Amino acid sequence: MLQSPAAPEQSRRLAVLPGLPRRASRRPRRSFTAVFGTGWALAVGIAAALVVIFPLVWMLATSLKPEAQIITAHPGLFPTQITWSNYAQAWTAIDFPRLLLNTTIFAGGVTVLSLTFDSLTAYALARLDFPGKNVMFVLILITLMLPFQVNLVPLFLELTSFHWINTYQGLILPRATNAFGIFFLRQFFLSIPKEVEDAARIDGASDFKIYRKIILPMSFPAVLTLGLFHFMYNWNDLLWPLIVSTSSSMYTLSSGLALFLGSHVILYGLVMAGSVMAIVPMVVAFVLVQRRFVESIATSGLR
Amino acid sequence: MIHRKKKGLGAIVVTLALGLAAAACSSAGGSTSGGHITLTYWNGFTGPDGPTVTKLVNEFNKTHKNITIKMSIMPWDVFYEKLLPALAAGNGPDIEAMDTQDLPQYAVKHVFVPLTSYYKSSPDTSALAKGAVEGTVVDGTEYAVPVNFAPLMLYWNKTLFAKAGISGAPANWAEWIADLKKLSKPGSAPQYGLAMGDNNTIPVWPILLWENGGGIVNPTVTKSMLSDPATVAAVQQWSTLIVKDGITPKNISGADADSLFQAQKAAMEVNGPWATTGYAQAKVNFGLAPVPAGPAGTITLADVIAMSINAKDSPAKIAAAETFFNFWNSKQTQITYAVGTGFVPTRTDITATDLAANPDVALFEAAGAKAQPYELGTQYTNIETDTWEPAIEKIEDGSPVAATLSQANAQVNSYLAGG
Amino acid sequence: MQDATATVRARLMTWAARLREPFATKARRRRMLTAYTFMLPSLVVLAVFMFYPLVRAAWLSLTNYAFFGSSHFIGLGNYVQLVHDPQFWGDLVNTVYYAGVTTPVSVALALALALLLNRQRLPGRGILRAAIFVPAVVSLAVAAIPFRLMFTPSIGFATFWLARLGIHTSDWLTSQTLAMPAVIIVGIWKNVGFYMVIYIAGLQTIPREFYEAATIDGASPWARFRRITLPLLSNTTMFVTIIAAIASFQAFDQIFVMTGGGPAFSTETLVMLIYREGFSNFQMGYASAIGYVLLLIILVLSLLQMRFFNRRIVRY
Repeated sequence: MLQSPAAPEQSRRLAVLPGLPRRASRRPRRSFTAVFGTGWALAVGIAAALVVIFPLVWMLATSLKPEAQIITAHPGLFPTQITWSNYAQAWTAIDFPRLLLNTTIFAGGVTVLSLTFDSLTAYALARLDFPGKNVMFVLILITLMLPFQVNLVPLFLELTSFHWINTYQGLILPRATNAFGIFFLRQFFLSIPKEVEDAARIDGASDFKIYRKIILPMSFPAVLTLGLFHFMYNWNDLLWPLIVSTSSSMYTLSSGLALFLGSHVILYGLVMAGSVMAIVPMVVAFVLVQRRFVESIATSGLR
Repeated sequence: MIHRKKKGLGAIVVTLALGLAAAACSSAGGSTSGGHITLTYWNGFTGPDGPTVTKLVNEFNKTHKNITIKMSIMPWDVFYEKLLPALAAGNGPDIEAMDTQDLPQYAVKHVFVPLTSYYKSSPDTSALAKGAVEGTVVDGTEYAVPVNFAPLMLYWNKTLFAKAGISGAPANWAEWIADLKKLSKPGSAPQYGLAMGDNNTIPVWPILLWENGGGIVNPTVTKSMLSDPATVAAVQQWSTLIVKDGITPKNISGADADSLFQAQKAAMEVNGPWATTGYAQAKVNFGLAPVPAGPAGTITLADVIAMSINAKDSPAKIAAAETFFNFWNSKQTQITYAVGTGFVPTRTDITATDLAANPDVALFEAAGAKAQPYELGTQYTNIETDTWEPAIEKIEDGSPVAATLSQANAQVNSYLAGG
Repeated sequence: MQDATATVRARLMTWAARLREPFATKARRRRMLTAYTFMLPSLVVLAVFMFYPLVRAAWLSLTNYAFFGSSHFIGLGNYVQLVHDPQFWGDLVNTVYYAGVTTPVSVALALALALLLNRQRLPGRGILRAAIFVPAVVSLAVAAIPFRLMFTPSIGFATFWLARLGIHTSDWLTSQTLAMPAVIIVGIWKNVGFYMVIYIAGLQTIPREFYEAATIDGASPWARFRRITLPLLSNTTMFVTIIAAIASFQAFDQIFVMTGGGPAFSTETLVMLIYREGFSNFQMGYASAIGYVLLLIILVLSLLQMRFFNRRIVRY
């Protein structure tokens, strides 16, 4: 774990860090190089951002073009003539409302359940002392290391025997808890100062009350971040819904579009419009919560 | 203390359970309630023949008050991917229509009801075309009832032909190849002489092989023909045309090939009768001609779609499904179906006058005389999807023809030997 | 003789006492009950949907279960078949190829972008970071759709503009040599922003005084990078490399959409093979065996990486 900024004395001690060449001090030429460097960095940064965003912009532009402009000898980026007919057709062709509903229920269901279960378990692991704690911890740690694809086949067979194939509960329940979520929240709970809890305990509050009235409210940012993570991951997932849903009434946005593409590749405008509609919710959500989300990933990454 | 805490947790658990119960929407299988039987029917009739089928199903529902058929039409590749898991999970359809090429694989898994007694007892089955019924037999037992009987013909775009200065459809390979070269304009906004899918489609490649005297497997489906000189020569010739002359796009599905022809970006397509209404509606000025004759003559492919009953269905549902089969193969329904879609009727006792409303049917019936089915027994997926299609992909990407085919040959033989 | 029995009895009594310990006092019993009640929902879900399937997969991998009909115990038969299956080896090579390119390139690019966008006075760096992060937020399956069309010659974008630059390529997605690079590009595109953000956070924990002191001592930017930045980022680098490697070994989404594993299985990865064998061919015993092989590979890979990095992490 890296420490917080060093005390002033350290600057002098750093002069003896191994490996640094000891040259005579020179007048720092930072002002010129800094400005030149910044301009160059900005240019590269903008170029990189444009390259990354380009496919999505191209997707949007193509969805607005009539067919004739898409397949043309000189493909340009922007449409010279905007048409909304691709969207109208895609809406019904891929049954977009149904896909959106299914994806919302799936991702939302997993998020709500996972946050609840994960936080309960994390609290137990963080704050309660009980026999078998280490065993439980290791067990949950193990699941973190496993790729879920090893469970694909037996999970499918299990859901089949429950008659949960092609149902919401079949999609949601196997993901109702998540080792990553448990550890993430446990780390966060551990960092909450114990004084508040101890005071409450002296006052006679039960563990559950402490959990509900003290820990949870204080953990709101972490819970929100984790919730966003879960929601986003499941909203975008392909393989799991692909296996659990066997009829088009239960497809999600990712699986529905992937399967639709299979026999409709040639309907370029239509397919692009469908893709735009499938991506827009997440992009909009991201733009809204962008700063918090990016920061939270940053701070959670260093474990 | 414990009491209060448990109550709090208990509330959460109860809410969640209620929420889950509320969200428990499972997809409907068929149901039986008070004598009324609902049957689910899955098929892949996404083409222009779909509306006619829907119309006939609606008519059946209207005239049979205690049976309702709920039909789900989906693209064929999705159909095949979802059928087995759904059947095993218990929410498979009651009736499913599939290509007889794929039927054997499913029949040996005992997912369909054997129909020998139905064939013996039903009044209409004796009038069905022998070739159509033959496709439904696996290991001596019939497992399905024909929905349609479809030979493939050459669709040609009269407008694009006229623009290229070609007077009529090609009659043999020499003319065909010359026309294809004239009509194919590769580049960024290409025009193709032919729209030929090589995956998720009624296969067209076998026709090219048969007409050269080759084939994928021998007629008794016991040995591979992929290394036969006639086969190798045909693959060489046609893959060169695809790669060098760009006569058709590589690796497209059957549905995409249909879209190409309908959008008039391809001048020809080898397709079945189901496409006629759709192309007519899209105002494509097309003509129908027999597939151009190759060195070994005119041989085309006949495709049979047949419907089966879910082995898990109750006797009441099976009886209801058989009622639907009788309706489907009745004279009146077959006339409506043939006229509406251009398919050759499954019954042999329908005359030309009955079919006068759609002259294309007579054309397809004539083509049917030179048609043979593409049967691979239980090895359809192994041979067609896992061996033949990748081999063609490799060849079109530049692999040497003879070597690739010889590898595929060995693989097919091992599948046929039961390996 | 009597001594020995006495010792054994004493030991047994200690063990018994230890086992009774958790239940000894009312307070302890209550604590245990509370804790396990808290963990109950998660434990139930994990037991039913994680551990039980894991065990069942192991059992399935020792049978020839094929969904319909009877299944037999065949011992290591599936694993033997695996070793002789050219499809398996081909897919393993594909997976290693994919991971071997995607991981280092993603990590290196992420670090480069992080260094670039961590500068103090860079205007608009928040927006630039967010823009590069967007692919992490969208569905890889859906985002692969425009990529697929961009690589299609008749729409022509990739091929057309590359030709303008003098590079003539055929159709990427039907070429056995170019299809894999195409899906690799999409894989890198998807995750670079995510790893970049993690690196930025890592960079921000490095005290600026270190750089200032080094500059005063006359260190060049490259020396500063090599001697300060890289070592102090070693924790982050380990983390990012491990998750990048694990993710790349599980590649599925964009390959499913763009090539379906083709042409001629040249882009098929291990996860796709599990999907195809398990859910298209219904060879579920075989698919389970492949799943366990994947598990083994990822475990070994992670352990190796941790050992590699643990020796190199700078602690201070």
